[in-house]
Amino acid sequence: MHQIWALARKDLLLLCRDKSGLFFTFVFPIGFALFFGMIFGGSGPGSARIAIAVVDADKSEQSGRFVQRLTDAEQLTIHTPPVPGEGGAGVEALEWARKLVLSRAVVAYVYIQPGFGKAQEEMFFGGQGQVQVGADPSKKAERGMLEGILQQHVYAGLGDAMAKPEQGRRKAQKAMEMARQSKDLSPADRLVFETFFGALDVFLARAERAGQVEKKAAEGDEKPSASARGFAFAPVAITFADVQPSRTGPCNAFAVSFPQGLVWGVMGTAMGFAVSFIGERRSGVFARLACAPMPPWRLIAGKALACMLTIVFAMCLMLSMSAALGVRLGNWPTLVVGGGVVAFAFVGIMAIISVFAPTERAATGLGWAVMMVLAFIGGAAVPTFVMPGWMQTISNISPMAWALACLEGGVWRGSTIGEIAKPLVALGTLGVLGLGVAVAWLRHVR
Amino acid sequence: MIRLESIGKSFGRVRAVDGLSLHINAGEVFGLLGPNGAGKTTTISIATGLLAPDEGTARVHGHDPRLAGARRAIGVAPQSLALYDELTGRENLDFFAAIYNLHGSERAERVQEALTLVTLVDRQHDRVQGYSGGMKRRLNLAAAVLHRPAVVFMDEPTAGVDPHARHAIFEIVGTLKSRGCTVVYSTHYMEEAERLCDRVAIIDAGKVLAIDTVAGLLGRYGGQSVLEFSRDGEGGRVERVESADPIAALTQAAAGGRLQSARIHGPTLESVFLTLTGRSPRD
Ligand SMILES: Nc1ncnc2c1ncn2[C@@H]1O[C@H](COP(=O)(O)OP(=O)(O)O)[C@@H](O)[C@H]1O
Ligand SMILES: [Mg+2]
Repeated sequence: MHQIWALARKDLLLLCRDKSGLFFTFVFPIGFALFFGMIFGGSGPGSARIAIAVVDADKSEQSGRFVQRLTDAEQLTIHTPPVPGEGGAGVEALEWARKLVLSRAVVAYVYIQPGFGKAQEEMFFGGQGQVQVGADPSKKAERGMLEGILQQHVYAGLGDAMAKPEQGRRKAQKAMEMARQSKDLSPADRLVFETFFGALDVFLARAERAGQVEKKAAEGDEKPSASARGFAFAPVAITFADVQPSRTGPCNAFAVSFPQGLVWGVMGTAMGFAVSFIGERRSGVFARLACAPMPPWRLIAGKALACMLTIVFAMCLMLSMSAALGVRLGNWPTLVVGGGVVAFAFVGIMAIISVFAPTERAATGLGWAVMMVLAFIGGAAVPTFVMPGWMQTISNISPMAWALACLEGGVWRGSTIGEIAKPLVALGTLGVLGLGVAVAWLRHVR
Repeated sequence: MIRLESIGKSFGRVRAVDGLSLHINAGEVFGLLGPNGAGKTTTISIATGLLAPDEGTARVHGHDPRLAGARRAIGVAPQSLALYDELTGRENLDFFAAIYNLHGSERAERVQEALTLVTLVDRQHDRVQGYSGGMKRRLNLAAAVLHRPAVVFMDEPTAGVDPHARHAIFEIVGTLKSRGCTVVYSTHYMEEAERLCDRVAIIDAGKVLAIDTVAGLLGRYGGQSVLEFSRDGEGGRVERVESADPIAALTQAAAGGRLQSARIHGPTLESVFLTLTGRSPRD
């Protein structure tokens, strides 16, 4: 054990001294994951466009204008039902919207309930349009932001006077004053203006008071009583419905890109160790180690231990980073077992390359060529679900695909260990075979 | 100590070692002398258990060198440097000492001892990539003696070093010999073998052509000495006389007139090689 640890320690020390090795082991995979996460997600911090589904079940002029304003809003990306439903089809459209939320294609749906337009017409008499927002209850930030955006567009539709009653009142009083003092107006016209602006002033005064009550209510927690509200200046009520997406989809683009980046990182690390082993074979080091009182399997074991430790460290680093980016790690036991077995399998691949490639160049060239092909068909570069069917079939036999199945299973699919048993066994076998063949070859060379 | 009996080893169609036998005694500095490609490295690889011979047997201390018992007695300084360039000299030695199951204070002691032997104590904390060729060769030797082996194999330990560094390596060989260590020294430099080795095996094309002490080889295969002299009144003309007894030849030359200059060239291993193979070792 002392010898194995000495071998592994030496490799770790060498890795720490090797800047490009460190880069490909730790920086490159993280860069990969961040880059593709941003490209595919478009939801990197800073570029916050919220995708929502809008179902207009009211189909009134008012609701149409509301949808139009949401469509124009730059913070939102709007999806509307493919076939605008008539009457009863509203239920189908709502179901369509719920499914989008469930599949995480959109953050939320906005359901404009029937009667929205009519309620707006009657808003001065207590009418209140109903808008339902269905969203994942855990997405608090998105919900809050969406509520703010919706409020803003509800009020925008009412115009300045309504949105800012004090300003409206000042304008109304000024207009009334002007009407009173005007020499040009006939007494009849003057009466009309005075009555109109006077009424408007009274109306706005109520609106102002209502607004203050609402504000106080918002600061304290008690609900304003119906009488205190008098005239409720909330023409649209926004209610929330919880839609809990199932655990079958990635919660964000980083949940997809990080397992892929991990696979690349694991591959790069395995290649790095294979190359270092070939370097030792070609320099005199191997001659000296092979002449030491030590069976050949320990040479492989030391290299494997160092490779394994590095991979596990890189995994921990990347997983904590993805967690920081909002990826909820789905299933810990799967992640731990899957990650361990993936690391072990790539240690096996490393061992095979390191004993069979004649030179470092051959190893890097051959290794990368094979791994690139495997990675592409295995889904480490392009997600398998966008591939043509025949390619998805091929990708099932790639160790990359098995590795992805294990890592994605732990990260976002929420698979149990039983569900990833097949790739686990395949990877475990690969690891054992790789190490076994490498040790057998070393014995044979003796 | 070391017995190689009728060893044969081929790489594909290349016959690297061809029926080679050697007996090396404890405590001697034994030279493997031959041109590049003669089979020296292959012979050492077999004697150290790195390669299995196709035919014949190898024994170190009576054991197969591939077994742990023999391995502890063997130290190897391979022809291609066995060092990690990115590690410091000390880290290299620490690592190889751990591989030889040395731990704790014993390891620190042995590493220090080896560093002192090769006079690299001052540079032990520098990375090997910054070392000169001679320093790397010395560290390569230090790593071979950490476990105090009974026999050290040095494969071309002076390859690519300047005369000064070469002298330092000669001194290391002398120190090891004085400690009772057996040294197997492979080289293609005739003068190194002549200077360092108690006995020398002259190897060519995988075969041993001759084994003897240097004096024995020179006496048997070195041929005659050459006397070169010039005398007064002969216009500086240099005469060459070959003779088995150069002193007698000199006396005779002096009798013929007053000597202006005289030089005796004794036989060298180069001439031994020439006699044995019909060609110069530098071909
Ligand atoms: N691993 C190998 N594969 C193929 N040929 C080899 C190998 N090692 C040595 N040889 C060949 O065997 C012969 C002897 O080589 P070697 O023992 O290295 O000679 P030396 O050390 O005396 O220069 C050379 O012709 C060399 O090309
Ligand atoms: Mg050689």
